[in-house]
Amino acid sequence: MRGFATLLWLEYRRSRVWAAALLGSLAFWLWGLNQVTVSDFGERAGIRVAILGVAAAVGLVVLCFMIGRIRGETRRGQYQILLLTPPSGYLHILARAIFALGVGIVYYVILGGLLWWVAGRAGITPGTGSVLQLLFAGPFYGIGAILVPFLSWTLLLMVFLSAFRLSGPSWIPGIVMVAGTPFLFRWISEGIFKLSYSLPAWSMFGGFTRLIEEAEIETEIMITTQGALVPQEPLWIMLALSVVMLVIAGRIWQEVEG
Amino acid sequence: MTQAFLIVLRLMALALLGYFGYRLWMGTRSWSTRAVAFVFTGALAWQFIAGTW
Amino acid sequence: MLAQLREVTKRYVTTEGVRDLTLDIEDGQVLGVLGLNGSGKTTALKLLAGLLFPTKGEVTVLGGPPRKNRARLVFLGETDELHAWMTPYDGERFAAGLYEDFRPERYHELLDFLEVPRRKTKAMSRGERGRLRLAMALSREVKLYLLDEPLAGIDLLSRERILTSLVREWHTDATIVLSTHEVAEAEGLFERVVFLRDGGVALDARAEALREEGRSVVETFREVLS
Repeated sequence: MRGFATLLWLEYRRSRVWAAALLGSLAFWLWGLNQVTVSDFGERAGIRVAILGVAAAVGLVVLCFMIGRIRGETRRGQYQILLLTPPSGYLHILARAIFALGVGIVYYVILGGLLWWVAGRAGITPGTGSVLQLLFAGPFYGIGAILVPFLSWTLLLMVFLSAFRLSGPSWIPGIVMVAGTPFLFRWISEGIFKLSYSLPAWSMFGGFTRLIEEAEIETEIMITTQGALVPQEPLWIMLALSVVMLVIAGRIWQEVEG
Repeated sequence: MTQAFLIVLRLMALALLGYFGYRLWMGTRSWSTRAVAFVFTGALAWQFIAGTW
Repeated sequence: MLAQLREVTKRYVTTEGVRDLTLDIEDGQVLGVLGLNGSGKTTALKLLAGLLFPTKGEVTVLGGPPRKNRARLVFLGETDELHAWMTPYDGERFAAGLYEDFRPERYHELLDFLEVPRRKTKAMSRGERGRLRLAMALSREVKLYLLDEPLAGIDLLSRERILTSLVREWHTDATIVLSTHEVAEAEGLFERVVFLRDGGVALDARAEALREEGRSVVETFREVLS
């Protein structure tokens, strides 16, 4: 555990500027939300929700870039030092994933808070339960179903590329993995949608259905008067896939030559 | 004509993919890396062979 | 036998780093690996460290595969670099947190002896960065030190002082395998010298035996490689 704490410290020191910039950007998004002054209530809510959607996407990209800098470390000779440290490849990968996840949790919970602010400005005052779902349950679902798989894929891509450092240009493995991913992702998504969901769906954001209607948010998820019925299966499947990718990334780290 | 062109295109893509697959297989001694390369190369090959364009 | 390379070949895409290399390293030895650029010195040391895996043959270090025993050896690579934001304090935090055999008091002594400035590595010269990495490496108490051109980038006057002290004072009874292409530095330092040429051993000799024959390491180097 001592070694793992040091790896987390190393990740923090390596990436703290990125993390600070990402968390600092929340002030920019808040400023952007305040700049929306259209008079129509629904349009105003819709634009603000769209801004937060962009903020969520930007966060995802920045976090993936933050942890995906193994190629630079390889070029500069830092990766080779890490390969020979006592902690296993699994711990190295886990430390990077956990740090990015920690930053992501803070970012997306605050984004959830900004959405609550948008709802408040739209005259919506939901109960405590709905607010807690907006701040925590929703972001955690999104983190589990979207952020964690993306981070895992990025780490897998980086170690995959590093495995070919001695044998030639890394654009060949890069092209194969990046080009192959959309097809694999499409097959996985189609598979998930074809599943007949057997686990009970979670009812979330009951106090925000009016916001969803006014902002005309289009979604595949069923919206009832009690809130959005969010299926569990996609979350567990994407988390399971993420675990598989992280384990493989850790295994590759152990087998890579430096 | 278009069909023939698409078939030739698929064959060329498969040939290029075959070359990439060979380079990936020979470029590492890590079996985990080879497995990952196989999965993604296989996905692309399947798309070239059976996918709609 | 502390470490062994048994008929090891390491093939890269179009070249061979080493070919049918056999080398036995005994406990407590100070071994110099000499050769021209491209002779296989770095490949041999990386194979011993577990950073490279052999295409053919077998490498055994401390009784097992080198990568599995990586916590019990020190490898100092010529092209390895610490992160640009690291200071010597960060280096201590890094090494103390990962290696049980790291000795902080020895580290501070070495930082002073090697005259390492207390600033970020991005504000250090190449030689200063090399000294910092050397201090971190020698602050670990292990049985096997693998040092690949440890003094690259360090000025000539400092090299002599550091190398002599390294071999005579800092290593205690551990095994040191040190590669260099500055052959003159090897005089009087190593118990055994191995000359590599084209990925194989050209000559493996005890330094004492060479002295008894009235040959210097530099002369032997020229003879072997001409």
